[in-house]
Amino acid sequence: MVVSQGYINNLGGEKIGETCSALIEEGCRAFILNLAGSPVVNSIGISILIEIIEKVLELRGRIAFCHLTPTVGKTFKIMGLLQYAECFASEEEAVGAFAAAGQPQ
Amino acid sequence: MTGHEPREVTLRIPMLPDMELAASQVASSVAVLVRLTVDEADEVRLAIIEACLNAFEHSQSPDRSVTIRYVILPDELKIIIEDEGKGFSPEHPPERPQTSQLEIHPRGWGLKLMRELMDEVRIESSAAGTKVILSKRLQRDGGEEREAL
Repeated sequence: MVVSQGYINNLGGEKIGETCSALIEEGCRAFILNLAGSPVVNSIGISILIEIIEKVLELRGRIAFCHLTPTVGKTFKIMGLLQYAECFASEEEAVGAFAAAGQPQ
Repeated sequence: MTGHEPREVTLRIPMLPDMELAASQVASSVAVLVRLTVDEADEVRLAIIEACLNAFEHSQSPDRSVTIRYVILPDELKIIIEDEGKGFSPEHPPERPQTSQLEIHPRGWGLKLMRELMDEVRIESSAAGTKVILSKRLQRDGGEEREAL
């Protein structure tokens, strides 16, 4: 589980990327990104999220977002992220879906 | 006051990191005034952020600043983001998407997002600068609030 806080711009996106990369190094392959603390994003930050999705999927992992505001969700949909990453209303729903598939986060 | 004169807020920001957030914050105050819903306000804020970022990244404006005008009309909120840069052709934006392995284009989404999030987007660009005009229709009768500005 990765919980973001604040504006997801280039710096915010890179910070999430570094956190995910470190977890990948530790062997983690299933990611839930909780964006409750990040109601403001920009397309540069989202482009870094795309790179994270790419990296996780290359490793045959799974990635999901939760707690997106309607506008962030709409933006992710427009940019095509939700073709490759799942979206859940809450952390509990995401954890439940991953647990049902036998994937620790 | 008849309530029909346009009311306007003007903000000038330098092209410095995160200054687009200042434009977004002013939009939040204006959104409350014109009674946009939370989602509508978020859409306006994101569209403004993208317009400012485009100006920051591509305009090469000699004075390194962007002027944002928030114009409140009886049935519309209009936001004009203006720079004095080199301009571009809206049909051929300066930043073209680069395909990732996922077939998602990582960059070049600014204009597309603005068009999806706003009711209308107009671009006037020349060698003297670029003006991006974002419009959001006002759904409810917010006449009293707008009159108070």
